[in-house]
Amino acid sequence: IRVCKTTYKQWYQRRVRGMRFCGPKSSTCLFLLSVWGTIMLLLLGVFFQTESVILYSDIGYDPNRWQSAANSCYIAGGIYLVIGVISFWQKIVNDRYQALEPETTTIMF
Amino acid sequence: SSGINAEYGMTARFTSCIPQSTSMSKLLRSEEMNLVQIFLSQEASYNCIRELGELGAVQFSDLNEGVNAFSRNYVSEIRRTEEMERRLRFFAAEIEKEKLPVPADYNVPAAPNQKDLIDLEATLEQLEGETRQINANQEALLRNFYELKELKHVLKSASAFFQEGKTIQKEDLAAKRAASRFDEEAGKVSRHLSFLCGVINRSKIPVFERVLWRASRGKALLRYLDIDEVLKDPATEEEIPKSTFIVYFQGEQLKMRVKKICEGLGATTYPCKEDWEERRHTEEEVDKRLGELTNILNETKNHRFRMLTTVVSSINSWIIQVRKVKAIYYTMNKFKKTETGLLHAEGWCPKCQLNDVDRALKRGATSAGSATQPILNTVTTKRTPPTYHQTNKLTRGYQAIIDAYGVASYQEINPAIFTIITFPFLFGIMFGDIGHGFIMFVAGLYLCLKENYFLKRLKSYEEIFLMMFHGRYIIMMNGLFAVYAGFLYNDIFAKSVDIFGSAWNADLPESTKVSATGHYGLDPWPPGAQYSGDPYLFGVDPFWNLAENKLTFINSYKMKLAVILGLVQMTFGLVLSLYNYRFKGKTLDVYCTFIPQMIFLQCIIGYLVFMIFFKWFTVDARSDSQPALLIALINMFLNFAGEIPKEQHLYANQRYIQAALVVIAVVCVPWMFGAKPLVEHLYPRVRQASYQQFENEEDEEEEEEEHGTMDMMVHQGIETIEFTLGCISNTASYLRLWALSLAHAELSEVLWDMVMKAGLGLDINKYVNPIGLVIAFAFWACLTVAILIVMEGLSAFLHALRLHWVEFQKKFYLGEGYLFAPFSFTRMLNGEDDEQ
Repeated sequence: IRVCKTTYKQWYQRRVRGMRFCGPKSSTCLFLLSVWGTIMLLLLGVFFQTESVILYSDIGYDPNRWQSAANSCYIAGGIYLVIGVISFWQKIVNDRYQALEPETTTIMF
Repeated sequence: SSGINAEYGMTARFTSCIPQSTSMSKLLRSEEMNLVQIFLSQEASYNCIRELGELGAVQFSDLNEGVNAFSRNYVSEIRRTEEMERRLRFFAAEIEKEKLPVPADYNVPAAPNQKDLIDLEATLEQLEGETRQINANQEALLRNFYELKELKHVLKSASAFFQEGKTIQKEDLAAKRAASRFDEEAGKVSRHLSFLCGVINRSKIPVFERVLWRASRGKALLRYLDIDEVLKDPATEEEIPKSTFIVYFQGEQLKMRVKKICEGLGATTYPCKEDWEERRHTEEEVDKRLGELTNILNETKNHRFRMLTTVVSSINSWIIQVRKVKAIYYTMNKFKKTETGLLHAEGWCPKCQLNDVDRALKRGATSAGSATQPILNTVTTKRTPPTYHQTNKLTRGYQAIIDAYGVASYQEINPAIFTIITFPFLFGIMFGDIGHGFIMFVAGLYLCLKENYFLKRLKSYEEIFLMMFHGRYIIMMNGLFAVYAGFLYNDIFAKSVDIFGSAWNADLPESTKVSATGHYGLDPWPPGAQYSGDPYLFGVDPFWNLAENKLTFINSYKMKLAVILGLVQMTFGLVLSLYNYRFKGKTLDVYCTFIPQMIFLQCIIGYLVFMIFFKWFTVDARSDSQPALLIALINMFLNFAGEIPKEQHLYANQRYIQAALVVIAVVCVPWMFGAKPLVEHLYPRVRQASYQQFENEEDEEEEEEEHGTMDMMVHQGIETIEFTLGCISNTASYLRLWALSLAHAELSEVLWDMVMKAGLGLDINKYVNPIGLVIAFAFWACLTVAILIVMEGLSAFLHALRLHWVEFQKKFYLGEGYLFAPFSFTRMLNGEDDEQ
């Protein structure tokens, strides 16, 4: 009977608050990483497309490679946007879980 | 006076400390301190000290220093508080056993008044008594419970034993008949064997068997069965595996022996009937009893749980209250009893808080209902007061890192006030990247914006995070200045940004001949072709990022920048020493130490900086002579007044001006070394006069050791050597500003080239490229944070700090003071009080 109780509670929590597969720390880390990644990769894509001189050492002379690098930057930025949205959702779910557990401390002498 | 939070309490308390004179700002010099004497009546003393503890403005001196801890006035009160602490620890252990969650309550309760203290004591005593009684009851019930369980197992295994026993009986009787020598005995042998059954620890069975065998000479038989159900020891709650056993023997003597052996090995025997019916009956009774006992045990457990739950919600608050009371009595133990029955206390108090202390004492006296008002006297003294800097949440971090090396002497200039800007500035010079600086700034900003949340829960964080949290304003400023330096160096994640339009132009015509190594040199002259003639508006031109000889240019520039900054900071330090001398009225030091030091520094390093600027303004790629500045500086001394070769010529009459500078500098050395001892030897009155001018300064006649002229000369000699050698070595030390920024830039570039470039340059197919880039970026970002921000940040922090501690502070700082440690509850609860 004890085993059944726990799984029921978990199932109920998932229904009410949403399923979570990341803990609070990893969802925050992933969220920050994806914010940084989105902004930086999208900007990099723009710089590749405008063939900015500074990035010469990365790509070289071939003009095709500039465009393909720009494309892969945009797509990678898009992937990070998706990851960012997922991790933000996980952050919200984690906050809901945390709001229901009362905050506890230890006895400090 | 309740619920004062650590940092907020400190800011709130100091609103009365508005500086009276505008020339004395809050942080430039430490606060003026007064030695105060307080006379309290006995009944008001507890409340007054309680008020002073909340205020935290007085550092009490121990007037009973020679007295043993056990013979002080308030020993019995302290014993009572320790008894209360013992009770609280008992509750903490019980709560830990039950694993009850402790609800978080961040209010800090005030110290109780004497009536509430007695109530608290009584409550704790009663609760402890109840809890102990419940525990004792529970133990007894458990013991009974386990005994009944063991009996049940014995009864169950008895049937198995008796089955065996019948066969043994038959065998044994036959053996006995065969072996019996005495007819009487043979006749007296009963048809039954006696037996004894019970329960024993499984670990003791082999010993039991051996002892039985020896004691009975092989005539007793042991059989045992393991008990599956795990039984616990009622006192300690450990699980002990046990077994039921049965011993068959004959005769009364053997029975006694077996019983003694059972007792000795801790085996408990239970009466067991052979008859199956009777056994079943006993088993039913045992089951009924077990059921009743289980109910009673559950009720006892619930009662205990409920009791502990009522304790758990207030236990942290009680602990804080008891600690405050103990601190009050420890402080009161420092006071002396006067003949008139008053308590006499002595301590240091900042002058600006005297009114607050007075009001607090009056409040305490009125709340205690005492007729006599407490008396507060200021006393003049020869002792050096403690150093007290008033800080707010921004300046506290900087003051802490300065105090870590040495606490400022009483009322000398506090370097922390300048550190607020110079430290992040030097950090930025060494860190110098827009992207990394921005991330650091955002991290610091987050900690600062959410500081209320963290401040409430300070005790629940580990030490490393706490260190970073206490330095949150430092981190934020460091990040900000690193962004500024990043714009100067034009470096964002190892790339440059072209904001204002680069001055260089690399559009080469088709017919350009590139050298064998594939390099092409851009010529800045004539302006217009490859170099526009208008330099980039702010910072390093972004084009340098692509140049092969970027480091050659940047290194020279950064090294010169480092030397310039070094000279500026060291000169500033020397000027601060001038202010210190004038504040203390040491005019002799102004003429005999400050002036020669300043002249010496400017003649050598000041001249080097002048040459740097002169060369920047006058020498370029077209010039005939491209002088090397360090060679010029060295030859200034080695080739004194000698001919300067044409290529090393910087300006007209250079050899004579340099010769003059060297002569002046060399003259300064004996001036620094001998002038002060000479004057003090010839005119001893000068020394006394210069000390008299300082207001609060004590009369130095008694305290000053006999300064012979030799001592003074040795002292001055050491200072002179330190300063002159330090001029060169400290300036060279500032070159770490260049070294660390170079390391940071190179690491950043290598990381980009090794990781991001691989991701960007992937050319497999259009589906795999973005995935590869995602992974490469993740790696790059993690390594950037771990290596370039955390590791390099710590490194730059450390080096900037060292530059302040050693190179800057050596010019003016004495750092021989001791910190003001007032009696304050918040300090005690934060663990800053190292008395107890």
